[in-house]
Amino acid sequence: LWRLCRRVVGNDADAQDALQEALIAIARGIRRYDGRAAFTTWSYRVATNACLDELRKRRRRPLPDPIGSGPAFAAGEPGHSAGADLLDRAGVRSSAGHAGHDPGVEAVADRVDVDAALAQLPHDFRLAVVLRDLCDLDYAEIGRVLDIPPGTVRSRIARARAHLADLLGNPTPSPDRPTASP
Amino acid sequence: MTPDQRDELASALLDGVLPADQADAARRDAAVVARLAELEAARELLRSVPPPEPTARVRALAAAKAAFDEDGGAAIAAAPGVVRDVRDALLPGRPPAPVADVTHHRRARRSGTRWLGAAAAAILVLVGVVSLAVVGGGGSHEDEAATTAAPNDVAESADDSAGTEAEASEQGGAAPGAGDRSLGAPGAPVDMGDLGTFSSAAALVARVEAVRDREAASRTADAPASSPEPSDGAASEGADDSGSQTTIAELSALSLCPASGWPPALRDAAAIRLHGRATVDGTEVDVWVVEPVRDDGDGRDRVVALDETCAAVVDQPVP
Repeated sequence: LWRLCRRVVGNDADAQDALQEALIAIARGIRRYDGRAAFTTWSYRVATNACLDELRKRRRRPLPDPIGSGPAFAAGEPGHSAGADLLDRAGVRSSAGHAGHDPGVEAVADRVDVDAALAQLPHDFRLAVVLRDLCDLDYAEIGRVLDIPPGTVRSRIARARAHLADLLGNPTPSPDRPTASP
Repeated sequence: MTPDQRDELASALLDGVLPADQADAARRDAAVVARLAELEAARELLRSVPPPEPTARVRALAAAKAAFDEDGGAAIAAAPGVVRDVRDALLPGRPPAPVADVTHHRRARRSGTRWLGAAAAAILVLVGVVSLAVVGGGGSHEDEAATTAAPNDVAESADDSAGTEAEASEQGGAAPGAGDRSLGAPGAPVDMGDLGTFSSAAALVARVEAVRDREAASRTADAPASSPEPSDGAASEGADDSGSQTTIAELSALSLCPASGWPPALRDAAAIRLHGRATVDGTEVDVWVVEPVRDDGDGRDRVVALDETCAAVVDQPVP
């Protein structure tokens, strides 16, 4: 549930709130669980609603400027990402090459990249791909969680993945920031 | 093939949902394979989620537990089937346990932990005895009392519920140590399971009589094939030395009504033969078939049915 919340809402603080709300809702609503769906599927549905509530709440409050949400990335410019921006700001990466390359910082940069990339997806697409790739639900289960047909789930997942791959895959990778592709 | 079609194909391939022939065809397309690699890479990045902060996790769990205690606990007690469904979902592969309700489930769990307490107590007694022997084989009465009292304290602190039941048993007027008294039949009484719903006590007694007779016939039929058993009375007396007797405290854990509330016919029985559950006139009861004490009445088995308030819905000889 944490992984779901973390990826859907995009930051630790909101994910903690969403997770807590989800667990409370599960504890309070367990009587309504009727066994028709797997307990995990039901739990994910409850958590999904908690995450959407959290996102709605967040829309009503001002957001701090997230790291790397600069105009270039917001526009989805290929070859530049929030993580790369973070590395640039931290001075870890020089324009000349690998100087200062640090796996820990790279991991943080990747994390920021993923959050920023997911933030660009509509909620429905984000949820579909997270439920599939993080929660390992199949199309039918995702359909039950999101109340959409499995065919729609499949196409949303495909489009979400493609979008993420374009944003995260660095189509024009710089020599000092290898892509995660094999 | 358009880029969207290629993406859909690669995504379906990643999920393993394509039929074999389509998957083979897709793997022969270099563009799809390249896209598949990119999707896989993105998925790996997506999956690397940092763990939650421990304090946040604890806080969330505590909040959920508080909510459960406020609302959910009562709700679950009213709907025991939910417990089974959730357990089955979380622990797939476990055989379904014959849990009648949450109260029963909790008591069964107490029974398990009580064995731990008893084992700890036994070890402490052993250690105490060895210590006394090493120190000099002597000591005042007070010392011995202190040594033997300690394990009881430990056992009680190890399992509050066991301690509570033991205390309740004594408060209920049972003879000292009654909770540890062994009953005649080795092992647990035969489980009659759920006997069903009855509109009257007489209907329940008739049903119990039939079950008891069938059980007796079954035992008789099995006797030659298994170890030879003496007659009922001898079995009751001889089993006290078998080391596998069932104590009242253990049986109390099976019961809706703890042993402290048992009527004399059940508490002082020479043996408890059968145990089951039934609903009589809308009230769930434990049903016991007991062998009465030797000098009590006509020696016929008695059926005793107690509800959760320990009221005797039935207490009469089996016809």
